[in-house]
Amino acid sequence: MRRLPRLPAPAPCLGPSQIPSIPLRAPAATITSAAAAPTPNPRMNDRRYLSTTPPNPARLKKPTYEFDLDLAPENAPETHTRRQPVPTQFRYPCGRRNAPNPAELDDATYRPAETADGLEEVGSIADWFEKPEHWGYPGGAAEYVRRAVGSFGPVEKVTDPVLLEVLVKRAIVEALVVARSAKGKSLETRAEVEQVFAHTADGVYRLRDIVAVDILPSGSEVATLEKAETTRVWDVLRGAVPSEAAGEKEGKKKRLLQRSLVPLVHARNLVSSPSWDNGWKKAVLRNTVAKFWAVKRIQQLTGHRIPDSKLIGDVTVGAILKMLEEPAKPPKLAELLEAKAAFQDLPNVRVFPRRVTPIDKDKMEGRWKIITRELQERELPIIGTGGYSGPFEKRWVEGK
Amino acid sequence: MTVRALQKISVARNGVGAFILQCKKMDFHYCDWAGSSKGMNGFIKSLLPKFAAAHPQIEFTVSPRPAKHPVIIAHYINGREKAVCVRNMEPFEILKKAELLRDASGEKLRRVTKPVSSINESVRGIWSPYHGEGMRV
Repeated sequence: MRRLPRLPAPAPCLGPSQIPSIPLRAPAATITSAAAAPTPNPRMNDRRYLSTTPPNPARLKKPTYEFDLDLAPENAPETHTRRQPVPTQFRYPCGRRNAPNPAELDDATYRPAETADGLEEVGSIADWFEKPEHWGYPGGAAEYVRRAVGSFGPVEKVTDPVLLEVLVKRAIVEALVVARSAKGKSLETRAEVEQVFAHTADGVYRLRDIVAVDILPSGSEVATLEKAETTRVWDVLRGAVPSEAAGEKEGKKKRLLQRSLVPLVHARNLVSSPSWDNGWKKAVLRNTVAKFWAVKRIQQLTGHRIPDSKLIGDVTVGAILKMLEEPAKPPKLAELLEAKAAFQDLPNVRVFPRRVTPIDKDKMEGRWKIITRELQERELPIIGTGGYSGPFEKRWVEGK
Repeated sequence: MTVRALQKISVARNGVGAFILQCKKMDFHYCDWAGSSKGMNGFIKSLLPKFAAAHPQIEFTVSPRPAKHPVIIAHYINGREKAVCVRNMEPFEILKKAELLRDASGEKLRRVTKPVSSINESVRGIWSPYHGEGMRV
């Protein structure tokens, strides 16, 4: 329908009877649609006002708001109960405290501040957990992470290939010991195994004795251990757990919290010794229980988590070792060109090892000194926009 | 009287008349990580040394541009520049593009309909009906 531009008629004065104030002011009462529906106001809908079509009363009809007095918040039954506080070592900000009313103070010299000048700055709780004492430990967040993650493995993954090789062999030997001796099948023996592993979580304890075990007997492809070796290694491992009767409770606790790393020199000496044979890497890990304990122990010793999908079927120990070793980064082209000296004799070629930025181009042309000087004279930021990028008016409004 | 040109020995005028390569500089940008730069990296390693040695009058710069497609940007003596994206190209395809940019004049591509185009005046001068012997009707 064609709409003709017309001069708008003078708007009627909005009297108090036209303002739908009842739904806003009535606290809890049944309000009918007749009372809630506002009178059609031509100023409230310009589109309808300009059209020659009469307004549809159905579209102007407002839904009826009915409030049940019984279900009002003050009358509602208290169904939720206060949750018990979770015991934690974190220190949380205390609740809000209100300052006393100036009228109730006895101090006659007290005068409320009218400006913020000279007032003590209390700060906010935005940087609450930046302070180390709020983490419950003197070391702060770093110590918390070290203690929390320490039971699962080192905070940082072991990346040195020699160290990985030694620790993986230890993990495989220990996993085979646990799988062979049916340890960890019941809850008691499982707790014992976990206790042993927790006390040797750094992998230092009797390392040479454990990695000297041959996991690939002659004529076999599958990683197995002889019964005598199993018993011997298990006895060695159990020696790491101090007895309760000896009163070494404190020492045990201290040992659990302290975590030392296998010295790299020690690992290199082991690998370079003539008795170290790489034949054990061809051993196939077939036993599912051994795989489970191997994954668990590898995570504890090296910090690497091996997904289950990579352990389906027959997996060799060498393949597991390869999963953990980080592939060497490919060399950069600029480094290759420098090593090859491809453009050494060509004076018309320049090779840059990193991206040439606009500032680099200005420096090449000799403009950068002048630009810097002129910006400094005008007290403008030399690099960046000085916080005046994006919706900075919005940040002013938000008080940031 | 016919307008006659001044008889003068030709002098060198800033090399006008001699051949000057219009391309003065070529920038080769690559990315160390992206697969689209594989051919470009091979070109820079294997073909660019020979290409640069054959054109000592062109300045070459090689610089990485991480997370971007490889590109060749040629700068010309008329102040213009031309850029060609060489993503996913083989080294010899990139060599063709480098030769194309080397041979370009730097001008915008226009359709040429006349065999000769010059900004110099004609050596014969402008024809005038009031000079010379005139035509008998």
